[in-house]
Amino acid sequence: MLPMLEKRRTLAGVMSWIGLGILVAFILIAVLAPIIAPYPAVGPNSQFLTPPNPLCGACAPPSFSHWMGTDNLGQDVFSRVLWGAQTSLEVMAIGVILALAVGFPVGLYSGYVGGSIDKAILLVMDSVYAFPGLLLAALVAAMLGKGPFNIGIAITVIYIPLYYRVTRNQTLSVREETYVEAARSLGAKPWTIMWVYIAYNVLITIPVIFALSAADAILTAAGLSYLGLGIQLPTPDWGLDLSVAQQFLTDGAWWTSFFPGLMIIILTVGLSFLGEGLNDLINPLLKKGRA
Amino acid sequence: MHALDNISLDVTSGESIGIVGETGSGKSTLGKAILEILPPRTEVKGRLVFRGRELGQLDNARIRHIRGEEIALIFQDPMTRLNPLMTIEDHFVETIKAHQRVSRQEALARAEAALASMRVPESRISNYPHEFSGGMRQRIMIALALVLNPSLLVADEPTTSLDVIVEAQILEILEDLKRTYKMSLLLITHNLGIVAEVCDRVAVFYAGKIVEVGTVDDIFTRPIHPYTRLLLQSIIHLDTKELHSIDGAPPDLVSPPTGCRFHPRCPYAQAVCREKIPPLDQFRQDQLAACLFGKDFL
Repeated sequence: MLPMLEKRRTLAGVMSWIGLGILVAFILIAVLAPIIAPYPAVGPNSQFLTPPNPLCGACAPPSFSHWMGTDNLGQDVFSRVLWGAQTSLEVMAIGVILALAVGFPVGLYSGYVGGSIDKAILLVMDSVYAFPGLLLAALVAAMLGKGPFNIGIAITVIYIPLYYRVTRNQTLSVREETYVEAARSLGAKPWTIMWVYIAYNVLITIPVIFALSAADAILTAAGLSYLGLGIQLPTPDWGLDLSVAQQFLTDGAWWTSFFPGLMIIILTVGLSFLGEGLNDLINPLLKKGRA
Repeated sequence: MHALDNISLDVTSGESIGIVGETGSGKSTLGKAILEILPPRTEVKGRLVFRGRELGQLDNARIRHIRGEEIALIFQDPMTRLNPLMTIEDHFVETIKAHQRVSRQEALARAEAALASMRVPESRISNYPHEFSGGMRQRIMIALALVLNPSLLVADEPTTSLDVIVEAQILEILEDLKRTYKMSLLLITHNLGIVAEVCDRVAVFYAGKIVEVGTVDDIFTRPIHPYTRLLLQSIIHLDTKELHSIDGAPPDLVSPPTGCRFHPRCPYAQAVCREKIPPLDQFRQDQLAACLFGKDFL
């Protein structure tokens, strides 16, 4: 994938690079949070513990000692935003990797065997897909309980049908390729045909939806936390911080909601850039259209 | 719809039979039916007996062992028959290991021998399909089909996309295999010249039916069925002054013509040809034809 990006100085290539850069930056932030965060994520860090603002507790506007200000509990927003990258990326990674791990093999199998088994799986997946994503995740999250891993699973449930659909449809077309027929004529086992001849040729469609669903997963995870179904206080989480900050917004404390929100936007836009850029680079039809 | 209708053929050990006919006459379908790799929702009625075993009654695992190891199929479009993401080496190892418990070294040695026999340099075994020309790929496909020494080779237009020199080489190799290993060959082609060169017997297909079967000698010198005669007339020789073609187009198999399927295009057709389906009758020692007026053409 990377050499392909290097060769093309096109809009798609630039978008992919920007997206990749943003993603890498966020991963670095998450990994390095313990080192680069000036304050611990939890607990009052404010030097003005005598409330300077009677309306929002210990909150204080951005200053030199607190670049993004402090929240109502006197916690440093900058530090919480950095630590929050850990939570968001963790939930996102669990969500999309599990969805891929389930959706891809099931889609491959379903598309390869076809017939009534395929129809049955398709019906189940389509029913799940038809369900509003956030609502479904909220239901699963409510059943499983809180915590990053459970939220990851709740998100997985939304994206399995997506990965299944894409894999299955691609499998249906790759299955008809003449080299698959040739492999069959030489006596290859169905398992070999599925995993050696079809899987690799289907895999090429995955990076795009992987990036796009990751972007969506960030939003869903933030949404769940915002609704109080996701991460629990005091764990630093952008969605959760937004939901707490909301009540102080009208009092002029914009910084407590602005910065976590900004992070959600930047990461989501970065992943979308990556997905859309990769889509343009990988999809040969779009490539031809541009040439 | 019936892509093939009432087909009966025997191939003895070491014999090669040519299947000739126009595009859409069911030649390739026959090849795929033998290996049971027809697309889903197709049905084969009748019996396929291979070395005393009825293939239709074997379970999938047994059929899979027969494919490639005992009956191999060479396809007509070499450009797309190799997995673009697998090296040639992987194709061979994959195929050999699907049938026999051998080490990778052993499989590689056999692969190299098979490639060498098709005059593909061994040094290129680790290349990917896109690094080869069409002729090379077709030779690789043939080497792949032959690496397990099948006793029946179904070759579906094996040389159609190749130039004449490569074609001659491949035909030579096929004949050689036939002689050395007593391999039987079912050669599907529309090139009558190849049939005359390689085959012992010929079956002429028209619209999913056999219209004439016989030895190469009989069919080429004393054809009976009007279709065979017209087909032979359409061959271009050095002294051809005028091109002959058969008027009309092959029939739509969804609703084939009544009676003899060739009657709409047959210059000798009578009223009765429209109603009566001609049986495949014996006219000479080894020559059968499906024409109501076959006697007139003897």
